[in-house]
Amino acid sequence: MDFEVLVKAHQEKVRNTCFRYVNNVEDADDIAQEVFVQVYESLSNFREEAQLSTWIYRIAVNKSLDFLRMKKRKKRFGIITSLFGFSEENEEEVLPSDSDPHMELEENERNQVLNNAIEMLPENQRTAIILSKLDGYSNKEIAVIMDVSLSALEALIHRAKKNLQKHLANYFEKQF
Amino acid sequence: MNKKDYIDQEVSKTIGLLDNQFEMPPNPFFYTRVKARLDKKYKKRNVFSAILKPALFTVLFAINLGTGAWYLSGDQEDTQIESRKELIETLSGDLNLDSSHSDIFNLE
Repeated sequence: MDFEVLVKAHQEKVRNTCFRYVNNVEDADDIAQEVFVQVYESLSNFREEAQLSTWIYRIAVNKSLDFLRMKKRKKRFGIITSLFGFSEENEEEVLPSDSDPHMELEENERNQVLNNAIEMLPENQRTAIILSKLDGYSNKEIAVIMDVSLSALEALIHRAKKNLQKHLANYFEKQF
Repeated sequence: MNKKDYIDQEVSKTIGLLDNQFEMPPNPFFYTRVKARLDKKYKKRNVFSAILKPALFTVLFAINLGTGAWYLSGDQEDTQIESRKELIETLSGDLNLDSSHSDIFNLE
C-alpha cells in the first residue's frame, strides 16, 4: 500500500486518539506524526497476523502514553528546578472563540475536571475508557489493541467508570 | 438542592462530556509534515553515514595503529636482555651480588 494513502486513511483516527490522551492540538499532531514515522520505519516488520489499522492504533496509544510519562517526569523535574530558581514558564495558549464566554468557561472547567479525573486512572483503565468513548473503535478492536480478552476489556471499562465517578464525586464534594 | 443531589448532578454532567468530545479539526498538511519529518530524519542519517562514519573509522584505525606501534616499541626494550646470562648479570648487579653467587638463583 502506498504510504501516502495509508497516512490519509488513518490520520483522523490517530490524531483524535492522541488528542484524547494529551488534550492539546499541537501535541496531538506532533505525536501522530511520530506514529506515522514509526509506521514507515517498521512496516517491513509488520506481521500479517494483526490488522494493519489495529497495529497503527496500538502505536498511537503507546506513543501517547509515552508522551504523558515524559511530561510527568518533566513536571517533577520542573518542581525541583523551580526550587533552585531555574523554572521555565510554559503557559498553554487558550484560543478565543465566538461562543458565550461564561458557558465556554464553565465547559472548559468541566472538561479540565474530567481530564484530571481521567489522568488519575491507571493506564489500562484510561486507555479502555478513552478508546471506548472514541468514535470508530469497536470493543473487539480495543481488546486487540490492548491485548486483552473482550471480557477483561468490559471489566476494565466498568472499573474505569466507577473510579471516574469516585474521583469526580470527591472533587465536587470539596466544591460544595 | 442538597449536597448529594448536587454531587450526582455534577458528576453525571461531567461524565456526559465523554460522549460529546472535541474532534480534532482536519489538517490538510498532515501528510506533508510527516514526509518532511521523515526526510529530515533520513537526511541526518545520510550525513552520519557519508561523513561522520568514515571519519570515525579513520580515527579509530589511527588510534589502533598508534597503540600497536607503541606496544611493539615497548617490547623491543624488553628484548634487549636477550640471554639468560645477561638477565642473571643484570639481576646480580641490581642486588649487589657477585656473579659467583648466581647459584642462589638456581638458574645455571
